[in-house]
Amino acid sequence: MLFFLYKRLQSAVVVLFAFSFVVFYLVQLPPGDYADAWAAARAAAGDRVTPDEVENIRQTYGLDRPFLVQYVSWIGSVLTGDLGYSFEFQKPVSHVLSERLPLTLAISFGALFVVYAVGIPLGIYSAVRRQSVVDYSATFIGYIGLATPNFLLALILVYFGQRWFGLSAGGVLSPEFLGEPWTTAKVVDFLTHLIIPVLVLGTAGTAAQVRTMRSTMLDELNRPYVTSARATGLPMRRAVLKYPTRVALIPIVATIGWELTSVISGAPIVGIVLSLPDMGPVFLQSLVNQDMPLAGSILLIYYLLVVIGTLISDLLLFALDPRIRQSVESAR
Amino acid sequence: MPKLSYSTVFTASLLATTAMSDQCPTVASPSGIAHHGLDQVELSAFEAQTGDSLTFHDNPNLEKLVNRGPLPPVSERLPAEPLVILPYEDCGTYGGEMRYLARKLESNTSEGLSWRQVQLVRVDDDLRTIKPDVAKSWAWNHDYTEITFTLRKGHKWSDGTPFTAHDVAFWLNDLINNEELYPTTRAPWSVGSRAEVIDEVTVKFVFDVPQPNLLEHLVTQGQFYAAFAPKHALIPFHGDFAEDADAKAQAAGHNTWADWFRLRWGHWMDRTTHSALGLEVPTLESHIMVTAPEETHRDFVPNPYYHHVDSAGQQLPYVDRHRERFIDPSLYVIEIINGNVDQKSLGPIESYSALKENEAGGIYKVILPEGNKGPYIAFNQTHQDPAVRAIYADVRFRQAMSMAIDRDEVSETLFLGLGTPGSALPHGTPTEKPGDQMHFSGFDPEAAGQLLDEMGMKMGPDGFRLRPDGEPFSIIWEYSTQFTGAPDFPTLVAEMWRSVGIDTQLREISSVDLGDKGRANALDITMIYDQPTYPVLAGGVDTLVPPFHINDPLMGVPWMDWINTNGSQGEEPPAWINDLVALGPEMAREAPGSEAWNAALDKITDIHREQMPIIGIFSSLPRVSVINKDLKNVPEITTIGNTSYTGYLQPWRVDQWYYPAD
Amino acid sequence: MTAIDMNPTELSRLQLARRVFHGNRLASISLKLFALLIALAVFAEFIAPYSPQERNRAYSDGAPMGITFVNEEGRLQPWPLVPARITSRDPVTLKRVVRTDDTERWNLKFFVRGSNYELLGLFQSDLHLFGVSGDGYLHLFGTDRLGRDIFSRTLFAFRTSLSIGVAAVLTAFVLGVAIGGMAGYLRGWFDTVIMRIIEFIQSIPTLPLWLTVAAAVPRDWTAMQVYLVMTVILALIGWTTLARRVRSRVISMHTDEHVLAGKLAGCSSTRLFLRHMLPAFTGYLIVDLTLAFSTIMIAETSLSFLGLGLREPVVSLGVMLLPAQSISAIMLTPWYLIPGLFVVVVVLLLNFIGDGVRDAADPANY
Repeated sequence: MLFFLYKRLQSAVVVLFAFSFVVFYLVQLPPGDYADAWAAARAAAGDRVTPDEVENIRQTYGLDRPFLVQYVSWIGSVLTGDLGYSFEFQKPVSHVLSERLPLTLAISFGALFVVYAVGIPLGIYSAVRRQSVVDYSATFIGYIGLATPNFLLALILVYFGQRWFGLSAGGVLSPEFLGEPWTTAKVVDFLTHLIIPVLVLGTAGTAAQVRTMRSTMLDELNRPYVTSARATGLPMRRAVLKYPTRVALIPIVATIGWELTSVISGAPIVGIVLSLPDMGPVFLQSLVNQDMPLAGSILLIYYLLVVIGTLISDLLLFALDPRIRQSVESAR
Repeated sequence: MPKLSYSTVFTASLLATTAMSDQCPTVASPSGIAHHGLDQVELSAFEAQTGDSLTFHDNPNLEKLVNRGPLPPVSERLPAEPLVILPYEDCGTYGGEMRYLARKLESNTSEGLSWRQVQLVRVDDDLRTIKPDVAKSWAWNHDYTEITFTLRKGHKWSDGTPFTAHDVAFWLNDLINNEELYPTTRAPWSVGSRAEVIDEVTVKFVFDVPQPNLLEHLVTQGQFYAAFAPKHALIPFHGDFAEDADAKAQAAGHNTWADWFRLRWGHWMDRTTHSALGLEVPTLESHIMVTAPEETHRDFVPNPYYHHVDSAGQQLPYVDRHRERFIDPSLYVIEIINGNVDQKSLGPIESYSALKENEAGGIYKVILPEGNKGPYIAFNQTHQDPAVRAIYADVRFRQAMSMAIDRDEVSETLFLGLGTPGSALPHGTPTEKPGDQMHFSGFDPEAAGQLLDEMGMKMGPDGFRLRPDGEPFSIIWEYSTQFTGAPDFPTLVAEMWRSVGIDTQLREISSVDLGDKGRANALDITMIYDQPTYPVLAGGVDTLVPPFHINDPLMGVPWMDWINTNGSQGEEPPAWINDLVALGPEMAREAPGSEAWNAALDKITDIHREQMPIIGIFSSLPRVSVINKDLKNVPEITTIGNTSYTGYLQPWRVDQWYYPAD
Repeated sequence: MTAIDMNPTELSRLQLARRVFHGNRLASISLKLFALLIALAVFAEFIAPYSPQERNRAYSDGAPMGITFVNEEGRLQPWPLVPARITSRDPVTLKRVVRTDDTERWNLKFFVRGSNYELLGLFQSDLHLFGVSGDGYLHLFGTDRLGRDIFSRTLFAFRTSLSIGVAAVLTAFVLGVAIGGMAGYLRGWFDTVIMRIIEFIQSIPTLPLWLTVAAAVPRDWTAMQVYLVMTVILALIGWTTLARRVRSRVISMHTDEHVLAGKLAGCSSTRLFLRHMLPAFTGYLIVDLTLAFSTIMIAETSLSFLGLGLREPVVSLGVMLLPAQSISAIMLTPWYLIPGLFVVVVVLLLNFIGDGVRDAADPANY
């Protein structure tokens, strides 16, 4: 088991490095650098920027060094736990992200929770009560969720959130709660504002899980052992939940890692459209402004989350599927 | 620590509190104070007229701090001579909150920033008259090379430290003119300027060349550079004053003291409020930042040492908290409709309809003050391709292109019909001539076609005109959506040009690339937005003389190179450009509005009439703006400035706004 | 004798699959609809009543218009009519308001002359499938701010998105089949390396990566260059699923009897692969392709929506959705979202088709 984890982590670390290199390379690829972007932004604000100032910025952040040197210096500091310095925010990347990462996590894991908390029971129900109203509506809503681009869903939900529930847009708190100490009312307000991003991120995944759960459950329910269990007088609930569900859960669990990947994938665009104080808008900004340390760190974090997700699903699989346990044991 | 107490005191109660107002002369009813229409008066003059000494009243929230001990009473906090403001409607009541929106911390789109600002002088509601503010008075020497400001005795920074002439001199001599800190600052400060302290309240600016425009500059673009800085708070970090400044900066993770200093205090706008460092920098503004800005919002509370009182003796401002929230501009409209915003001006004019539709149920009213000008177009007369340059440099081409634009349709299609068609010639100046408004700007495709025919641009087989040498011709119009938001304007105009036979290819590029290409003389067309053509409002003549813009050159980079290098680089400009370049300083030497100034402006305008270097679309375009309808003392606004050129002109005088206690 | 009566064993695999597929009504209808949409896109110049840049000055920001069979006198007619519109500006909100003019009807006509176009690069024509007589106009999906017909533009935009999708999917397909096939066939170190790379790519959050790559495209590239790069970007991720699928199939089929037989008969590996292995799992590949295609469509719209993808004057679904970004647009001109609905419909159709093909490819369903 430990050996298995070790191997997993080992490859994850290698991939992480390869990934960070690719990312860093891509972010600095477009012509110009952060100093140019800075100059353009200042000029757009009406300030007068001289070549000296631009050159000063360039030297301050070491943008005149060759790409490899910049990369090595950044990754070197990442290894010591320092994510580098964000040009754009003029503060350490870790400061920028520590304000935003918790929200990204809350929304991503909230969405993941919804995916499974809704997807699995609904899948079971749809399988047991085939062609019921619930089955059809679950399928229908699921397909719509699957087919609607996240940004579109987010835009429409913001609009209806405002029209029907008077939800304030932009951020995760009503304005009156900003900067206030945390009270029950503030927590409720915060959770209410999480509904839209979590829904947007979670719908597609939920739909996919309902489908998978439903079809594997159907396979299992048709097997002789279920029929015989029913025949021996086992109540329907137990006959469904005890064995077929467990088997049907295996493919679901196996894909937690992927599910997390897709949730994380969707997160930036939702953050951008909904103007959330999470990593999404900062990420886009850092790409556009060529703020390499920031963009690179954000991508690393996104990737790290995925690695964690994969590990979790490996562990769960290990616990759930005796066959895997055996094969790992024998592989040693 | 008084700072902490401010924030707790002000967040604790945001309720409006009734104030006593024994007697309160206002703009509407001055009750014997001087003459009608007066909106501010020095304390001594006020008391002389009322025949009574004015008793000062404190904001109840600040009074609590006074009672608890950390803060001196209001009479000791105010300058010996506070500026007495006659409110527009009535003396107000303290309390409440102003909620603003901005894109982000560093945003230059936040009016909330500007509404707090103070400058040595301010501009009156007519946007012409200059009035005292931080400075009590000023005097010019005979040739406008020296101006002496008299400050207010006993005026204090928001931390209670005296504000003196040394703070003004420090700003110019040690910050603006410190090349390590700021290699350049916009004229008139950048070259040949220095400040001399005469006594604690008297300071003199001395310039190598006449700067009669200085005060106009201070209230327009120049208001972004508050012309003073808290010396006592900044010198510990200034390399010229503190030997350990570099060491301190390096300990904080910066290369030089200047790098760190710029984060603490920027010469441009409110850089100070971008980080927690700003908490250590006191201000003279109406509101001060007392907690570190967050990603989502930034809060301000009244400056206990602010130098304005109303005519009943109450210290301004009335409103207890200013809060800016940072959200994406695409969500502004919905947040305004949600009732979460008390004042905001918006860029996209189409938001007017959505806001107006929801106005009845909302807390706000929508107004349409003038303030924008819309887009301007300039063809590159120094184009790298000689054949193309010959076309763009032909005034007939520019006239034809201008007449090919149906400005009414542009207004109808893209600006809700609110744009007033007009040329780029200065409007509203004493030199304006009857035909200026629509100078070659009426929609006349036939006349345009004739001019193009005259130029020898014959129609080719594909329906597009050829160059006079018979080669195919296309305008390559590169633009960025940074300001337009959508490619609609170029699309529309390109179609109009195509219909007179001029092929126009559109290409959207980033604003970074656009700036680079503009400076590299690699564009066919440059565009600007909302550039005021009235030189006083523009803070100078820059927009009328090459390179026709205060930041990025609008046109004629090689010409300017030629002029700046005495002919060793670039290209020799045509005579009319030389004339403009000569006339610019000539006009800048004269006092705005003087006869000599008008004469120079008239000559400049004549060249523009003849050469039409810039094609204007509208002479005026309103700016959509919303304001909480409960707010009092809000004047009828006819004009709002815009950031890049005029700054947010401040006739609004937000420090006297208040919410009535119902 | 109908197909139903035939003995299943007498049918070829393809026929069987086809029968199962058409037994699935949803999938079969979806396929027909999708084919129709493709035809609409391919012949967009002819189907669309207007060209994508053509402006109707009289009807900008106009709501979608319907067709009626009731004439101006209230009588039913056998031919379709379009109620005339009167546009004005609301004096208070200044937004454009459209009224139906009950006293006038425009005749909807088929095969009318309109703007000139070149169809498929082959011949010139000005014939349009339908149009309105005289000064009238018909905008089924409404118009945008410049008065351009959203219905026509949607067709052209769909063609852009479709061609990007097809190009990307084909690139992904070729890459996937070639690389996956080789990995499965050669095994050994090659297989290991390829599998590691695939795992790497698949574990990357796709959208952030796309964002990064898209932001790296120089902004002064022409629309065509951006278009090509978009295709490549989208294909970059797509090939992995296919490669994985092909590889595992190839491995499992090494032991299949008909493949063994082919080997013994001395077939070359390429021939063996293309003739005997590939057809056996084409069904699954089609499923993957449909899914990849819908992912790519969503990605294209998302990237363009964020301003990192295609730009005007290219007409793509994402570019068309740009003005729908603001809430005021949703409030005042909700029809700006129609291209978005179009994306939803297309992705739904692809999903239904994919489900149908999956069932049809599964021998358990025969």
